[in-house]
Amino acid sequence: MTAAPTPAVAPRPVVEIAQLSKTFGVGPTKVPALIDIDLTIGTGEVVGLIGPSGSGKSTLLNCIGCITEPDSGAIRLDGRAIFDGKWLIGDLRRLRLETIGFIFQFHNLLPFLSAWENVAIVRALMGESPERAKARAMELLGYLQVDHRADALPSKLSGGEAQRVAIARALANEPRIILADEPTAALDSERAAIVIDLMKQVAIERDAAVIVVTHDEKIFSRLDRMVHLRDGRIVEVVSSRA
Amino acid sequence: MNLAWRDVQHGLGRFILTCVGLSLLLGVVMGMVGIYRGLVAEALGLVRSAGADAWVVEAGKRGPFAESSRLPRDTRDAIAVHAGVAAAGAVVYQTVEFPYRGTNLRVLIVGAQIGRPGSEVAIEEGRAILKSRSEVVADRKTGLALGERIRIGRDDFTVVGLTANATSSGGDPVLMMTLRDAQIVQWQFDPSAVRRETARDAPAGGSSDLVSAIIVRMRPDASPDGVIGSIARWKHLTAMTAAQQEEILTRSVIERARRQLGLFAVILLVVSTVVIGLIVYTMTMDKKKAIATLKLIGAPDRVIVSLILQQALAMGLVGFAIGATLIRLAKDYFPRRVVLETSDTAILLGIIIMVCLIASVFGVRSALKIDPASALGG
Repeated sequence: MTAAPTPAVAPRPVVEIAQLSKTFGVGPTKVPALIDIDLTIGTGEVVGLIGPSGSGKSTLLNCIGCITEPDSGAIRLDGRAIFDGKWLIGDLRRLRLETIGFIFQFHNLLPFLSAWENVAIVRALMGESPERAKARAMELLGYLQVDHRADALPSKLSGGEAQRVAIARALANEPRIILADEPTAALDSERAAIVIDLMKQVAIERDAAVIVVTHDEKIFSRLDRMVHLRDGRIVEVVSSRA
Repeated sequence: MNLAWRDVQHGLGRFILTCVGLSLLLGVVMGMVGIYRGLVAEALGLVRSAGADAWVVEAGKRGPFAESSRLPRDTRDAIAVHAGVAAAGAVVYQTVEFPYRGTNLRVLIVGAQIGRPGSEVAIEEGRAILKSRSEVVADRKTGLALGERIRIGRDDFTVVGLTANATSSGGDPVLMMTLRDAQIVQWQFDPSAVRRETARDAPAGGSSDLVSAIIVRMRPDASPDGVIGSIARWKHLTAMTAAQQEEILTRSVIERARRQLGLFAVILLVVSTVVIGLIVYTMTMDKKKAIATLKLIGAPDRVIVSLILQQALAMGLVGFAIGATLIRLAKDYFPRRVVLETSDTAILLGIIIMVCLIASVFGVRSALKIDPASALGG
């Protein structure tokens, strides 16, 4: 794996969030999870959402991932208006399938599918033929240098291999946005650095934006920007490029 | 790629074990239906083998199978010359138990007049009764062998022929003998009983020249209703068609057994539905994380519903196939006759498919409620 390249062109906004708010509960149990969030993330960027538990970072990730419906505000993904006080898209799952890639803390590979099948299933869900889906999956596994484990079940993969397969799956739909939830929490420092560098490389090479929810201080230095959240508000944005 | 199949492959041992457990349950359901069919076959087999166009029994009785019936034997002679009647034969039916190889053998004795209606029987081995006394044709279920000598009452009999699947509606194998022999078995008193009857100045056993029924075969040009109506008008006789006799047997004699077996089959099907439902639900909950992940990466509901339904159907069909195979292999070892009809198997297969679909409802509902966000985090 080579070191992550630097973007050659100015980033184009992929995720645009304006005045986004979300509250959980009703009446006295009402808890604001997000308050007037404004955030723009461009192509080639790896942005970390950082903050203590309950700060709203996972809610923000879920709103961007079209999993949780915000109460108000607006979201544009890859230039397309997705939310403006209400969902503007009927089939959000299809939108996720076509636009977003997910990477999880514990890889979440389907335990009954082999490594290549875990990647190919995304292409199959998009309607691609089994042969083409497999070819694309093998290509991605090769790109992530884990193609030699293509036929192994997730239970037979090491933590690092499983996370690489999970990244390959997240890339399978050629997403413009990659959402990663604690992707390095289960990895040691060395492997965590490799995974973040890999995501950075993917973001640049594939013109995508990567948003990482993390508590993992050892990867902070490798992020392009760190968005600090507290009590549902953005309290600080630190850019490592500045 | 087929997700349902891949998941089954992943936990093949558990899936097979589940299917085997289910197959035993479904095998019992099939057995219940088979026993019912066997009951009908046994009951109707006896009636049909008589080849009667009409049955004549004691007045006001629904005999000779649903209740007892007694007629003077010479009634046959009067019926034989009745207009429209081609042939008539007197028959006696009686269930007896006699000592055999250290235990009691329970049989239905059928006494018929040689060469007359009621005496025909499909011999599988040996020959039909030729002598007027002391010869019997036994069903294989009696365990009797060709040439074997048995003692019933005070007389010895030789087994000259063997039949298959000739049983009473109660499942007792048929032992066929001449009418005269059957009457003797029926009416012959034990010597001590004869002495007792003599002491009380009563005729030993009263009239013994009685029969259970007269089997009537009609001329081809005769009107069955006309002949039956004419015989019934004699007042002291009841006549019925073969179809009416079969109706009596199925509605009166085996109706309760039919209901009981039907009830058991329904209860077992309900139990199967609950069991399949629980298994499908458990299997779905085991895949909660995987289903959440599938939803998150964009799999539509139909992919998830199809995964659950395919597994439920596969489980039902594999369980059904194993159950059907087991019951086919075991049916000959059942104490009662088990008749497995293709139509019943096809209907049961349809029911099992329905059961699987119904049982999947809870699993599918739970799967559709799984929040894709639950795939995120630990």
